[in-house]
Amino acid sequence: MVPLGSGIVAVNPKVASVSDTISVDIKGYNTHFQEAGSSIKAWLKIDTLKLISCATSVSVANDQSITAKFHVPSIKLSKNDYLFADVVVNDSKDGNVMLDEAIRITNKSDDTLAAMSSSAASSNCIDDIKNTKATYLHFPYRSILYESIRNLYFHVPMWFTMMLIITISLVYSIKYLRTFNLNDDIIAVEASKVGIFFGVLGLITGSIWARFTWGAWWVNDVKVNGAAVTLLIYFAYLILRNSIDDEQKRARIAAVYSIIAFTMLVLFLIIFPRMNDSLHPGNGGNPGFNKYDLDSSMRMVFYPAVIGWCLLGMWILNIRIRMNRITKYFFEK
Amino acid sequence: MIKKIILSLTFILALIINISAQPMNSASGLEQTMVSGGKIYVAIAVLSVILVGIFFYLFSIDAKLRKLEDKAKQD
Repeated sequence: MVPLGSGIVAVNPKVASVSDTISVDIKGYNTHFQEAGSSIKAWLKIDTLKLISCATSVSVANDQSITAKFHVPSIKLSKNDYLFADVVVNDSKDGNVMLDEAIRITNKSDDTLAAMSSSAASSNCIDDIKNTKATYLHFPYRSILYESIRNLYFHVPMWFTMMLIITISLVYSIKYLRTFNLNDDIIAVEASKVGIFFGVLGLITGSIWARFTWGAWWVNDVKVNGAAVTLLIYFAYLILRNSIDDEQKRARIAAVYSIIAFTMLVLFLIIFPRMNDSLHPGNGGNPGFNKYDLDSSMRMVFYPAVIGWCLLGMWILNIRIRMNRITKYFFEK
Repeated sequence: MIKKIILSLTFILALIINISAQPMNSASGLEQTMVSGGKIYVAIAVLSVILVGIFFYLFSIDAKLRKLEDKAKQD
């Protein structure tokens, strides 16, 4: 199994004062501190001031935790003001790992602006942050997601498969309206059914994923609600079909409805999510996974996974179409 | 068949309501399990749902095919 990349889960303490010397316990995830040994460097980084302060000493407790000593720079801060500092750790095996806004820097008193002692900087202290990458293949580490980032290979392809199969349904609905061949109608209805099945799987898996990352089974998100509405529209398609007895009439009305349903699908799943901000990745003007969400190590698995799930969907669709034809054959006999 | 589906749906619904009725902030047993191991159990839960769903669907197709087979034997 490809491991997750490393990252920093937590630091302690989370608050420090200017000009202090602090000893920070850094807790890593999937890090190899012990293996990296003396190559570990740590920095405090204050982005707003473009200030970097390096650790004067780093001691390794185990693979997942180190203790680093920092001198918090002397910054001019009024009494109730504060700044955030990121903690960056670099080692030869994991490359750079970072925790954003890890430590809040406050001011104890109004007038403190002690000069930083020059002896603080020891010889192994580098003022520039090294920027190296991990030496092993890994999936991106994201806080909140952690290992559940692997759901990308399961949850997302469900929707890809659903889109593909629903598109097949649309194509055969149009084809039916041109030829009035009931064989096309069979393909259209079975494709809708299989498409709905994959859509329902996508909703359930999305709900589970949301619960343990966003914190709720259902969030009022454009894309999530849009997906639910789309499925309801396609449920209505099946109900509409069942309510008409005459075969040709049923097929014709269903085909027209299917075209309308597909335009709604495009609206709800493709257009609206891009017009609104949402928690869901791939929204708010950003058409898909960007480079921060999906790096090359994940693409390597993701694209084959999409093809695989789509083929599975097509196979199920194929079986259902053949079964429907046989049923019809018996029914006519 | 429809009765079976309705029954299983009610069961799943009851399960979900039962799970979501747990207080959100206090770390319940489920929450703790799912979040442990870097949330790897979330991925496992998602994969299991998909596998169970697909197997369920395939079994229902199998049952329908068996009915057709029986009918073919009768004719």
